Amino acid sequence: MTTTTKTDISPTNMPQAIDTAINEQLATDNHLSMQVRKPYIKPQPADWYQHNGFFKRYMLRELTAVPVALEALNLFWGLASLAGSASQWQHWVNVQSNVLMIVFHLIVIVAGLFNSKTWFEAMPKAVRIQQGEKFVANNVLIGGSWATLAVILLALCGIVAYFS
Amino acid sequence: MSEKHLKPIYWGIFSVGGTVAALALAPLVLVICLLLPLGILGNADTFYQNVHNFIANPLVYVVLVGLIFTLLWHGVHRFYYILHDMHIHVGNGVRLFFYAIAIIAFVMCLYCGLIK
Repeated sequence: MTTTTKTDISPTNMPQAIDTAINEQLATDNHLSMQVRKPYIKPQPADWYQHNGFFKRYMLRELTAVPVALEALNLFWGLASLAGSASQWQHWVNVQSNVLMIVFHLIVIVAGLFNSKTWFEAMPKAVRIQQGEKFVANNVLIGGSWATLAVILLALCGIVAYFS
Repeated sequence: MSEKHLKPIYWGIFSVGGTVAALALAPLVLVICLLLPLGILGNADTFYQNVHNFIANPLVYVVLVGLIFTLLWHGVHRFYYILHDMHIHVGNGVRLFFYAIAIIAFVMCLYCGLIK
């Protein structure tokens, strides 16, 4: 009988894990060693997402997390420099002007906007705002999110223009 | 506290980070990391002189570092689930290691900005 550790439990092998646990319990209760249940578990190939546009977009959406995480490290550095000395800030600014960094920033902007689009479209499914007897329409929430993004962009432009 | 009870914290920081990224990441990178350093909008030196004291204020600094922390947490948390989707089962230890990276970067950034 196979032993199941906690880390082996994932949606793909969860039924198997439950089944193993039940069989172990029944075997100790009834002194049986035979398999009691044999549920069908649909096998899923590792490249399951590569054959369907919907799944490919899903995977691409999830992958936006990688440039976001890397950019967060750069933003940590920039913020610490801005709170630090003038030469530290100057160094950070010079690094941002490097061609590779510019390309990276452009990738982050595209990935970030793709994350915005998918995040805003998923948001009405999680946030339901009731007004009277009706719920606020999805496109109002999605439009409001894009408007917030535009306001943040304008505010940042305004702050940078005003303080320099 | 068991793993089950920590789940709302993992996913809570993830969703805050996703929302911050969705609303502010593209504008922030465009303005602060591209337009300002390249001199297209404003001047980086003057900008530093004008906002340094405000950003170096511990209260302001902690809030801003906290916002960036949620972005990083969002990234590593989602990356773990990408590996899961790709049938790469790295285990819970690696997941906790990812979270540890985010927390260490957060503490280092706080340390660099607050203790000089």
